[in-house]
Amino acid sequence: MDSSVFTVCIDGAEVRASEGQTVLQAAQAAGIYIPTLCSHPDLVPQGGCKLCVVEIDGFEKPVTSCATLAAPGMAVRTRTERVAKVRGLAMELILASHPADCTSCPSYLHCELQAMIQYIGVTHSRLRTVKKAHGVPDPRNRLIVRDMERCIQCGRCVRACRDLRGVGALAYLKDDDGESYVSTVDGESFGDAGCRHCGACVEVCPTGALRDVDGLFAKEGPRELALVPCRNECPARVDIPSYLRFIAVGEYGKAVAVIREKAPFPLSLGYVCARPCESACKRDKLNEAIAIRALKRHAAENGSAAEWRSAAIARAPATGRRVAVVGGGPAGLTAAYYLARKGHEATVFERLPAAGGMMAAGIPSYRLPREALASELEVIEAAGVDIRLGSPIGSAAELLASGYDAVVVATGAHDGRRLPIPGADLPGVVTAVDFLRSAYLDGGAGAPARVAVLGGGNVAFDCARTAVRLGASEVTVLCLEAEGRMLADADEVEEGRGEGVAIKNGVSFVGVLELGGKASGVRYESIRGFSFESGRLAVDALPGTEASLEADLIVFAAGQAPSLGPGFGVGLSPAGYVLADEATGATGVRGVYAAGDAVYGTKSVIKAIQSGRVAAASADRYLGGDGIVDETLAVRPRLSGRLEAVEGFESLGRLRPPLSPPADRRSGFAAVEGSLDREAAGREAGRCLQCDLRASMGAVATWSDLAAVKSAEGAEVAR
Amino acid sequence: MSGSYICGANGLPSADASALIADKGAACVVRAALEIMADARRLSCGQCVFCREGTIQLHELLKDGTSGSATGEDLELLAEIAVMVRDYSGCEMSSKAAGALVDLMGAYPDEFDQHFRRGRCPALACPAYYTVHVLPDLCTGCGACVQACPEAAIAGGDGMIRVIDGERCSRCGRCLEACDGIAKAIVKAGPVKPRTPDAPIPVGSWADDGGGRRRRRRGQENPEGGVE
Ligand code: SF4
Ligand code: SF4
Ligand code: SF4
Ligand code: SF4
Ligand code: SF4
Repeated sequence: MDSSVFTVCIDGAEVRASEGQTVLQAAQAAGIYIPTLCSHPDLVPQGGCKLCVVEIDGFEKPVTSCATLAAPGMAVRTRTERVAKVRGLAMELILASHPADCTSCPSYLHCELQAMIQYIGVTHSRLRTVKKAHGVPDPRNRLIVRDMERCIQCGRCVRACRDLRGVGALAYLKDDDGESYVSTVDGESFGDAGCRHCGACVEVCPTGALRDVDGLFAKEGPRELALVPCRNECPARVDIPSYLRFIAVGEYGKAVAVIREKAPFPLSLGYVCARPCESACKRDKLNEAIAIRALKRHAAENGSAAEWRSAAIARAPATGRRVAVVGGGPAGLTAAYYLARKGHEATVFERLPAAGGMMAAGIPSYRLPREALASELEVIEAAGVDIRLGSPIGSAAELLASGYDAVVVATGAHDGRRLPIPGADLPGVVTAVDFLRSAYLDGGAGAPARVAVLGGGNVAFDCARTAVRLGASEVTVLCLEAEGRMLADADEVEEGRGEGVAIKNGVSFVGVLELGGKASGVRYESIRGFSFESGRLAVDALPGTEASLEADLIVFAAGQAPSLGPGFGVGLSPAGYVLADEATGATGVRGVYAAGDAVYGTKSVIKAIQSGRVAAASADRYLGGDGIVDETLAVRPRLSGRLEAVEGFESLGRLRPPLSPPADRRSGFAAVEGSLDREAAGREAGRCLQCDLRASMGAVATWSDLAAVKSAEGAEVAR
Repeated sequence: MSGSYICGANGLPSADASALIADKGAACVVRAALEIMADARRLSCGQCVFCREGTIQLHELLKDGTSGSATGEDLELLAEIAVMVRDYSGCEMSSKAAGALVDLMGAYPDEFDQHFRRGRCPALACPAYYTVHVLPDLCTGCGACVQACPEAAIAGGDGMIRVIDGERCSRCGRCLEACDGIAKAIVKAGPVKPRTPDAPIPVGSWADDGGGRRRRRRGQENPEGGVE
């Protein structure tokens, strides 16, 4: 036996302990519950709450087990009369200066102290009630609520901030009467105290004294995930804080490797990701979200492929199985990529003459340069995916019959919707899908002088801004939504306006005007509001406000749907979507899986990628694989967790990539948004609060979850 | 390996309990304990519950015990907490302070009992437990006390024997000091009160006729508090 491992006797049981372990740690490791409020698995012991006292043979009186090292042959008793007496009085003392109204406390039912009150079984009654004056929560603190009335001065937060983070924003202080309390140094706001907003103090606080502001983290789902809101919100769960740390130190290749663990399109995403992560970013509630997408692009543009390429195209030994993927957009390509990596023979059948789906045929090139997309298609092909362009597929059954073992349907939603108004089918009326495809894929013609786009989402602005670039002189976006409530991103609206796009808000469409058998404009009326009742639009029109706008081309940007017919051989919803299980992508048909917009409608590239991963995993399992598509492409450095205080950290503002001037934008299809420079990228990545540090902290075992049976006995004795 | 308590660095309570135990003289030991605990409470670094909350409770209990708002149960609580703070606080400062309290309680159980259970301060040091009076046969009518009183609690003009209004008097003791060098006519009284006129009367006209304002009740013939 290792000499540093020995046995101690705790409550009559022989328990293994190792050198350097405290009695408390040895007991916890053996599933023996000892109450404590000031100790925490990640923190140095303070020995201040005295709840962890135990009797040890040879010691004259009970000692704190958190601060006593286990030694060979020690005989420890955790539940004796003397121990109960010390614990009981300690608890009474703690409660004497703690508010008695638990039910009004936001931490009610999630509070270690409250659980401890039940365990020790004492009440507030015997002692003098002490009211400590610690002020009201400081409104300057936007992320942390400090409710010091409920503080029991256990000092966990002080130790977490000082010892784990090296920040030292919190301390034991003395008021003018000499009364001690715990607060930010000098009573400053967290920001002024150099706080890095890591949340460690909140995590360790056993009471309601330090809390996250309401709504900071999602309530559903596993807590480790919820604590990192950017990652939690990312459909593919890209490990954002890890790659931001790589970017902060200039390790761009490793940053790309981290992104590639979840998505084979880091550069394209760097241009066009819908960035749900940024909307969820914890820093957004402090001042401004981290520019995650711009940082991703910077890394993908500057990182060395040597860091990831060989691993990212490595394939498992050939399985001899063949998979057909119908549709070469982000969902299909992602599915094919992982299936190829899993050793299957993966073939993508793309109907259009270019791969990329909407990334090639829908998203304007001023938002996503096609060379960026091409560089990522190259990696996918290098991983063994066979992409066949101009190859429409009639049915899944036909593929299965021709020797494919599995099929992934990822045909997207390329059917533009036409509004049900008179004149919708006239020449001169097109759908957004068709308009954009002709512009970006068919090497489209120019645009006429006057273009009206009906719709208020991002696609409407894609059409409008494309029309501007194609030479239209009068481009108007008309939509139901009032100003400020449009579905399009604020950036899109802003940039579109800058390029000369006119916007007409709060109108509904009466009909398309006709002149000489061609569309000549659109007739509309103003509305007070609108709603969707069981999927049908109901507008509250303002009588007498009908007006017309003349236009040579009308673009309907009013949504799009999949174009599969029943003949394809998979179950379809009444609206034409493929019926597939969300968690697996399985359709009702054996061996046929579905992914992407065809399943759930137009969403985002990153969602399509995740959907492709899910379908690939399921198809792999179906083909006899383990279904694991997660991988580690970059080894994370061991984190010390130390952040150090940084003056002014809280108010560091978001650094924005440069935008080319409107005049240049109007005249060409070059990328509108520039790239962050190296220095800005480092600084921007350094603004990240590193929310994952908190998620990796140890958890306190409570008496209800640690050795439930034993602790129940303990409670009896303690009472 | 426990946390770094810094109470010690804040200093130790100033009062010296062992000297008091050797010879308390005329001092009130409960007040001495009160002062020790006031210091200890102020000096606690706040990191350990017995030191931080224990000294607060002991101080509060002693405040009540010296101001007439304690009960006999409070005395037991005082003893219980004092022993626990002495034995289990993490630092020398509070364990010394609580130890001094335990020792004082052991050496002078009766004084603590008088304070907590009977509402008396034998040393007449606790304002809640005494009243202040002008002895009519000693008062010269000089009025120095009237000048000194911040509460305007003393009635009577030139040549009159002054009378203190017990309701108004805050027991600050300024009149005692003022009169000390003149006639020593002002005294503190415990449960047994000296006989005084109800209202000012001319100097020399006081005759102790055995009537008037007699506060003495049966069973208190042998006042421990006495008259100073
Ligand atoms: S902090 Fe805990 S014990 Fe205190 S009031 Fe809130 S729920 Fe109750
Ligand atoms: S740096 Fe972290 S531990 Fe310190 S005060 Fe800020 S959030 Fe709390
Ligand atoms: S704020 Fe919370 S963690 Fe900090 S001392 Fe108070 S109770 Fe303990
Ligand atoms: S601060 Fe950093 S880790 Fe936290 S949500 Fe934002 S990007 Fe993610
Ligand atoms: S003790 Fe103070 S308040 Fe009372 S009569 Fe004397 S001077 Fe006035």
